[in-house]
Amino acid sequence: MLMKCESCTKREATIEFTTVAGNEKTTSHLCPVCAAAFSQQQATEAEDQAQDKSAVKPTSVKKKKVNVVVGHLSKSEAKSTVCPDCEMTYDEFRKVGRLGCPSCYRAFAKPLKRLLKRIHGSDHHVGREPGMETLVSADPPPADTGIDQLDQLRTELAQAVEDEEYERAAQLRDQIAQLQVEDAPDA
Amino acid sequence: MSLEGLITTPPSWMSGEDDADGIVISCRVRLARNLARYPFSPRMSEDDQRKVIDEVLAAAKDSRRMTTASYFSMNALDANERRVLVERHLISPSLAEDKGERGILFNQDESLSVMINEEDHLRLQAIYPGTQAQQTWAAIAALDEEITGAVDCAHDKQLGFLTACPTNTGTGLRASILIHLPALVLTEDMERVLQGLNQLSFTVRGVYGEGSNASGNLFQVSNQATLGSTEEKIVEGLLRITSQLVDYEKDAQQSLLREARSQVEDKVWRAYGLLAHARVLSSQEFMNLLSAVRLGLTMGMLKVPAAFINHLMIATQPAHMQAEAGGSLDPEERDLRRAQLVRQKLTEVSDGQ
Ligand SMILES: [Zn+2]
Ligand SMILES: [Zn+2]
Repeated sequence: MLMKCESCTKREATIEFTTVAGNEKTTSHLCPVCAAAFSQQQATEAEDQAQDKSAVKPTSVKKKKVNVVVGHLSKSEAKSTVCPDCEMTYDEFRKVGRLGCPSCYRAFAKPLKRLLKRIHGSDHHVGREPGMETLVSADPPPADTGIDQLDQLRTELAQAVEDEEYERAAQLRDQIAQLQVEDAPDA
Repeated sequence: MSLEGLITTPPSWMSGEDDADGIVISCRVRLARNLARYPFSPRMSEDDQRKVIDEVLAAAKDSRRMTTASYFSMNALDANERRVLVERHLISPSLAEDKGERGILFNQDESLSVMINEEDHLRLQAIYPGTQAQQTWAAIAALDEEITGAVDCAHDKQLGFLTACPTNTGTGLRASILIHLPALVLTEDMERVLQGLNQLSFTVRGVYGEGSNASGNLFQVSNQATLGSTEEKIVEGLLRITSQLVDYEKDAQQSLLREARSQVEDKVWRAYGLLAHARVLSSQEFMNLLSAVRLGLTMGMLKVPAAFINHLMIATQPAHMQAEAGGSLDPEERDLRRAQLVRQKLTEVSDGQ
């Protein structure tokens, strides 16, 4: 019933991927993993647009230009990486799309983080931990003041600097500056 | 609790509460969790699978939220019983069809459930009616606290909850709504709305059918990313998008009424007439007619309760009809039986008014 990804034929295709080259337009249906692998450029574009969280406007949408295909991993990297606990190789993971065990996350840390970043736009979890106490009310949340968003961005910035991800850090700095301007009282 | 008892009662999420005049049917949040000391499901031995089931059931026994819950092992159910659970949104098609030791634990009103040994060891799920996303989140977070607090959970400081597929890593959270958007489909605005949502990192798919050609005009909207945002932010984002979609749908309905009121009324009442009198109803035709009747409810033309429409949607599905008939039905028999069932229920509901 559901459409499968045209690339891996395993996961559900949730993304319509349009490639424009001259007058030729090709549309393929991909899963998030394959779509992420196909273009980092698209992820950046989507991130730019996601910043305008104000509305889902039913206005016309421009087709994305995609002409770069990015592989996950160099050949030597793929060969040498094996999970010590379940013996899965990174190559095998790429074929089946599922990790073998929790230790795979450590064994494949480097390429996996790149992949996670392309899928989610982040490689840092900021949510719950196991057994964490719940402090949620059934009331609707208060209007977004932008204050906690600022805090979150600052935390991400510190992390980005620590990880020496300067491109990301620069992006975050811009976002923070933007928010601070919006928050400033009208003089 | 037995499965026979199940088919005659609608699940609590179909009650029609807070449903924005019939537009938002239900809201669901699921969390993917794994136990630390076992391989992920695709690489597990049956022995490991049994151990995981035992550990999870032991943890759930102490849960205050699962005191009315029953556990069903997939291997103890026949194919139709498993499909009944799929039709009630309690299990995934792959849990129904996979091999090995796996099962489902769910509470009596079906608002909370735990799939064991699906793609992840645990898939916790809460479903509530209408736009009750905050209540859904509160319920699932409380269950998560009890269960992940009692087992050794696969978790990493930086990456959060570790899942078999990297599309679920982090929060492991997928929040979704089931929404009816007939006017946006009719006015051909749906394609653009779909693309707009995609860019906000939300996925939309037709629930019965593909993309914007969904039959019954029912769509599921869910978050794409699970890493980098808190659970609360994801749920709030879904709520925000839901209320925007409801606004767009209502606007589209108003412009339909302005431009073609009599045609719209005719469409609604014809659908009602066909449902009330047809002798053969394919599932596709039924879903489309039911969509028109639901539109009539949202526009205030018809006084059919939303809970009734919701229940019809489940009661007329193949496995539910076969369970009621006590045997398998071929497609032609199903179409006859579907028409009969709908006629009978519609008579009941109009007599009751
Ligand atoms: Zn794929
Ligand atoms: Zn492993």
